Amino acid sequence: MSETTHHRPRVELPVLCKWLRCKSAFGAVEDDTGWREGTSSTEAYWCLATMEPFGPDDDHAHATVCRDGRRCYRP
Amino acid sequence: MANDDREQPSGLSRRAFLGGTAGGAAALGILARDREAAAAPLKVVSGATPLALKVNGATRTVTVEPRATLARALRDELRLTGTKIGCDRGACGACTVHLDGVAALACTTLAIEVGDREVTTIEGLAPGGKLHVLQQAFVDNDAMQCGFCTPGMVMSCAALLAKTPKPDRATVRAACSGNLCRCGTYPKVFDAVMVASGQKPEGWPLEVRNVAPSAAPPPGTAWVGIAGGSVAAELRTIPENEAKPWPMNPGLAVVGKSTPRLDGKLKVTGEAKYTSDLQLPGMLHARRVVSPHAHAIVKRVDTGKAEKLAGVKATFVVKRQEGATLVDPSTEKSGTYPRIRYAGQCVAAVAATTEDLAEEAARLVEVEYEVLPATTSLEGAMKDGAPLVYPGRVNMGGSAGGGGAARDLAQRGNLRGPAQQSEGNVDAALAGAAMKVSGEFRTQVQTHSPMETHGIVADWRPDKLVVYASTQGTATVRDELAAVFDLPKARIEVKCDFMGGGFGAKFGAGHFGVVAVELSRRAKAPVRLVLDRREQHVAVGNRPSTLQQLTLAADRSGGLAAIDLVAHGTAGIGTGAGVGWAAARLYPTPAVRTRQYDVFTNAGPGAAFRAPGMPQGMFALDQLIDDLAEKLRVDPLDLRDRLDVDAPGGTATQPDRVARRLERRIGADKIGWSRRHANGAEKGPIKTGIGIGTSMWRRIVDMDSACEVRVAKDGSVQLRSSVMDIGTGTRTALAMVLAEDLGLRPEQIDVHIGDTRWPIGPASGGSKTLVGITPAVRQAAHEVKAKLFAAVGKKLGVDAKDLRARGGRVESEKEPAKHLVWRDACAAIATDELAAIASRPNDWGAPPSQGYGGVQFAQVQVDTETGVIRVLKVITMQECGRLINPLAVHSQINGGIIHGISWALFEDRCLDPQSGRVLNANLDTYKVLGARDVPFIEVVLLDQYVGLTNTDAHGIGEPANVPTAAAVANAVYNAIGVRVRELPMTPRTVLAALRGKGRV
Ligand code: FES
Ligand code: FES
Repeated sequence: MSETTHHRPRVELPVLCKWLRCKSAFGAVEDDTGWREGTSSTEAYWCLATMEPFGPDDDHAHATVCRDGRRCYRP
Repeated sequence: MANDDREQPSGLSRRAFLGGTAGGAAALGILARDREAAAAPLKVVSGATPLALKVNGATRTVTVEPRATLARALRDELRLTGTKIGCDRGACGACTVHLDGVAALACTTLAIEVGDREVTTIEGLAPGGKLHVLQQAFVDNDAMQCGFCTPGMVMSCAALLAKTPKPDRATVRAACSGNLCRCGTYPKVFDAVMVASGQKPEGWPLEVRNVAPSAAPPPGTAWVGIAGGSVAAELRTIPENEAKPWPMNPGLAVVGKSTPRLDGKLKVTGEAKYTSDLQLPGMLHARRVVSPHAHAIVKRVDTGKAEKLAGVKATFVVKRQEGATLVDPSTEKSGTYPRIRYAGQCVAAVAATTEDLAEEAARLVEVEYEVLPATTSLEGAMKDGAPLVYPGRVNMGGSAGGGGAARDLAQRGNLRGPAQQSEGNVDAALAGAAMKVSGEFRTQVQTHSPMETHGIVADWRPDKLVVYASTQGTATVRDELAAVFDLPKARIEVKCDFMGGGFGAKFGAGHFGVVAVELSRRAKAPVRLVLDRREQHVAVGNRPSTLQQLTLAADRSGGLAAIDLVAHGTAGIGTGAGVGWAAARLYPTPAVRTRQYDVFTNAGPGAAFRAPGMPQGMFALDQLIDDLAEKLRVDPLDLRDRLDVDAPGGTATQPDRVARRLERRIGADKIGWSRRHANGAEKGPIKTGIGIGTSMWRRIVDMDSACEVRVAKDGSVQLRSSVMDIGTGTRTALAMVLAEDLGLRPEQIDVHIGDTRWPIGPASGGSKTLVGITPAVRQAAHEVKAKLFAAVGKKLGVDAKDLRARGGRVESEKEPAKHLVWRDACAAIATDELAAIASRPNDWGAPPSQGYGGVQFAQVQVDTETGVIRVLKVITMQECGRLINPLAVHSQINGGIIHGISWALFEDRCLDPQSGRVLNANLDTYKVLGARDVPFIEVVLLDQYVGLTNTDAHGIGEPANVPTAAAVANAVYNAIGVRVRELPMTPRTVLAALRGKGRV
């Protein structure tokens, strides 16, 4: 759930690691891009590779960091 | 469920201890004294012997060990699973049975203690398929939501009525005081007992304010408006092939009428099967091995001894992903196992033929740790030199993955962020403001504590994976398991018939879920892994704690000039500890800046919890708005009216603002706002006060919302979807919507939900279930009706377009004499069955705002000598789109308020600062609101139409919970004239606040 997705112009969304999940990642919720952008302050993320809030590289999982360039990133 | 103390290295679970001492009631008494002496691994006593029990009027033989509790004997041996286990230590009442007619807790009674006393379980309360008068009253009064506590609650109340046929209200509350209902159904329970005893119900008012027009809107339009406000038909582009808008509720036969839930009988009789009740043939039981340390490196895990134990069928050790490169190998000392970051983190797991064996095997797993310094508090984690939860920055080389540059959120030590929002020049506005108010607000960690803990039964078969999960989203569990195990979704079935509460924490499969599936894969047998209360408390989510500094600046007329928020919060090792968007979005303000930080600590991760962040944010904002009103010398409600605007001339057009402006006035009248005394003006040590809290939430639409409707030639009707019923009454609401369109009664619809074999439905969370799924139901009904009407039209010799389904028949609108009763109409179908699968149609355009309003008023009494706060009354005004089933909405709102009060006054997860272990990880020490703490609650529902879908239904779980703590806090200030800015508002915090102002 994002506090920043009300009626904003559409932005190009980042491609996130395929292992990243949070509650908002499920379903097909329209106009809910905050979790993808990582701008939501209330999103609890986890990694499917570990099923914990950290990735296989032992750093935390979040939409701002689970992107191309991270060692454990999977497209 | 057991092993409450497994995380403690020298501790023992109660059941294991009883096992080591061969059972006996006396053993309980020496538990604490012998804890240390008994620290060595215990041997399972294989002394299972036959025992005769008189249960529900028959003598039954169970084969149990001396340490077996009555609860386990009933559930595991006799399959009487209506007796639930919520805490396994006498704190929740879910296991209540009767022993010779007297209420007793089956989890603290050993089976061998029972002797020749007559045991009555919920299944035996009214044999012969009939309902006990109390069970019927529970159904009629909607005295249940998820239903997990319901059997225990019924048994406690039945024991009361057997002894006291006409109890007074206080006696009813006392009788229920040992039974916890996390859904907050107490008011309806009290009423059910009064009704069952032939007395006037206590009366928990629900007032539904409808809008007058009952006709369908003119073609191409939909109704827009709210009860008490203006209503008009507005133009909408409604596709030709879609179900058309309904009339407003007074023009409908089923929708909008209070309807007892269809699964009520199953819940009050104990027939409803929850995940934790399942027993599959050949099923194994799993237990996890968890770290007792909050921060450690796992150096060695040896499952050898466990594997040698007869009956152990599989073990699993959590390891790093092969080939994983660590972000900072120098600090991580690359090893085989992930680093331990909180006490309670899973290290390994075992599956065995019985729960006892699994528990024993888990004890035999040897784990060697290198213990590291931990950081366990918000403030401590922010200090320079604090132990780091995570090693540092992630290397963000390369592109940002196809667009959208990575927002390079700073991370300094354990501090991550801020996530920022900024509009206007806040610094300039603050510097030039005529007046400012500011404050620091602190909220605590709250655990979800659903009465049914997280659990899963995984059955890895050669051809498919079948999973039974206590989940809020069957499809979310399937999504994760498909990804983790690289299986096609078509080969995974996830099922959830009934679940005992989630409140946001039961999305996805969870770490434990993946462990269970892996154990099942290895053992080639079904595996059941149900977390115990400690594990639930520690490892699967919580509402994070927060520390907020909030400043409001205003001009002389009271217009907001600036809002500045800095929030720090900790979700343990997870993210998402922010306070949402209340400060940024509730009132339009020219300059707004919010900076929200996550602070990592060595504690279990947070999770979404009923309106994530919003109750915390509103707790601060609503109090400061009151402070501003005081400074401006204006009435707090008038100030809110002045601020809650979006149109010229100080008016509002957005539905949530329109609603709140109405709701404030209704509530003011009901609470007696005009008679409110000045803050702290009452004389004497016991003071009363009233206060207001404000709600806001967002209408969320999940397009993964589909269903199938089938109509058979014999007239029977089925509805199928993977959406599940979290306890909110989704099953009944879907039947009502379909019944309305087919001209039937809800009980004529067979609703099959909670199974991914059926069309995908939304997860139940975020108040989005009915927003998503009900338009799909109407669309499927529309399509199936078109087929049915074609057949009926032919038979009646009328144009199918003129047909309608109403009152149990299909009739010509032009010539009502031409009609067929439903069954005969269905007999006209050429094939044996008609079916339609429909996905949710798109909204009919976007309104300027898709938010919720909602306002609550609280009245409190504060004892300034003891610091004890009692909430006397809560009046809530709420809109939530078109009301589908007011009875269930009422229950859910009661629950939201009760959750809010519980958070405001009682709940507080306590971590030992040294070890990082949770000190109050069960319901005996983690205080949640109980029957005696329930205030008088009055609910006013405003029927509302936004003209966006064919049902206009919204959800209600979130909005009802957002304002309560703020309303209580403002009422406390009105009572004592001193702000309590910290939750929970315990006697300690109240007295400290009074002392700080020299009032004691
Ligand atoms: S399970 Fe027996 S009191 Fe909670
Ligand atoms: S209905 Fe009581 S816990 Fe859910």
